[in-house]
Amino acid sequence: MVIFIWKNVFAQTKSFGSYTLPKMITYLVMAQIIHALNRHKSARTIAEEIKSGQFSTALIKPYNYFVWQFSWATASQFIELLTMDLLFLVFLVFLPQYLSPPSGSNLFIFILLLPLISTLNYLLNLILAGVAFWVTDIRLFSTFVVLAANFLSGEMLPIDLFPAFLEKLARFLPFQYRIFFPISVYNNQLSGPKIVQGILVMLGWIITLSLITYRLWQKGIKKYEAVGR
Amino acid sequence: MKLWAAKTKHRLKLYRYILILSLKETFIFRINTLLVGLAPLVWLGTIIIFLTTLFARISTLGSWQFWEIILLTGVHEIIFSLSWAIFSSNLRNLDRTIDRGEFDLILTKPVSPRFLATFQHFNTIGLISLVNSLVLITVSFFHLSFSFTFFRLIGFILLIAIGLLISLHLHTLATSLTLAFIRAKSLGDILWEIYEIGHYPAEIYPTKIRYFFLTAIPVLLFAYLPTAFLLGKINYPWIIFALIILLLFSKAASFAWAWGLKKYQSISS
Repeated sequence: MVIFIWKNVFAQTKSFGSYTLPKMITYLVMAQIIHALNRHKSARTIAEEIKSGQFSTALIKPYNYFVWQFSWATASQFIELLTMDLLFLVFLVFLPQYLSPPSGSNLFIFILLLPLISTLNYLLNLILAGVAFWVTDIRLFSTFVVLAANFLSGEMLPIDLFPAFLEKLARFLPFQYRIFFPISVYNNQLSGPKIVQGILVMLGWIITLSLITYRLWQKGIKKYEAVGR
Repeated sequence: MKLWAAKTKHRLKLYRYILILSLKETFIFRINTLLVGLAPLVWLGTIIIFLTTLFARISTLGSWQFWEIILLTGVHEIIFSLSWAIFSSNLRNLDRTIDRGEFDLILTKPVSPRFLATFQHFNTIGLISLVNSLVLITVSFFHLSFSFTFFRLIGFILLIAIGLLISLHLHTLATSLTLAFIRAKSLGDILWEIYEIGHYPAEIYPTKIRYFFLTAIPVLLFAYLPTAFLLGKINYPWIIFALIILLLFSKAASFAWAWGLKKYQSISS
């Protein structure tokens, strides 16, 4: 469907912002693949454990709960990523004219970025799950956040094509590092210094979000009650 | 005929109770319902931003103008939200109903299992989503300068009703596999994804694909046909075409349900 929409669009205009048809299709295909790293359900799983009181058992177990959850999430992401790679393969074999190949170095940086995307996303999930210490049911809250975060990540449309005020907002928030930034690297749209700057900001966000998560969970665990457990 | 009328009257009475019960449930958790209902608003917002961005650089998409596509989006949302409110959430959760052994209970009730499995709960959140779509349609009506006859309007409403019924039959077809194999929910999920194809004008798709989604998996009948008909882009024979597809899918759904029920094996309780 995406191909047909954009084919129609590019029939009327030669370029859309800085995008040509292959660059746009590559962006959207890669967005679907990276989405596999963003789709894990840690927030809901952990929030359910907090809500049901099952989290109490995690508190007394002799391992780090966060690491254990992260391992679960990473394993499922890996499987999901492999499945989504099939989509890429279909394009590569049957519709190669719609893909724009990355340079070798950019592909290498993109692969290095994958664990960072996963970590960033896991931290966002932990923050979302931490809300469950104060609000019993986070489903409605998480639906909102996930919808908005996905859009502001550039899942539907690259954020440099957003209306000006939304682009400013999206560039200010950490969500762009989930999809837009890594694909811009893959699509050869960023210069060397811009890539370095982007990675540093991404690392900055990971540190900031780690601190927020730590503080939030510290306060949350103090408040946590599990009656009857 | 008399028997059919009595059966329909009985089912309508039953559905009235289901509706009242679901509404009462909604009012218990009203804040939760309201907030969950706002999620489709965020989603609609993203679609509108997407279309606005596209139309900032192009004048038409598949020969449709911006407000025509907004109208199409509104109609698509009507079918989506009504499907969600009335039957799709029930049918998509049938695997859980079977898992918990509740389908056995449904089978023992003195009413058609297909009716109960399809309409056992009315999802009021879908109604909130419906309000969003009606607002979208009203706004697009104000921006579109076109006139239509009374018969066009009737045809439009009729085509929406046909679209909704076809959506019901498509869901029943997918769910029938759940009856036979239990873990076939992903088929329903795929169906939801395919629904998205109907979000855009049929003209953007190549002819073969267009006809595939008008006949084999007729998702283009949901919103495209009613909207194109109202806008005068297609004519009255398309209503007959939609009725034929409806009839075929109605038969196929009945057949598939009967087959699924025959294959069904209780796995719980």
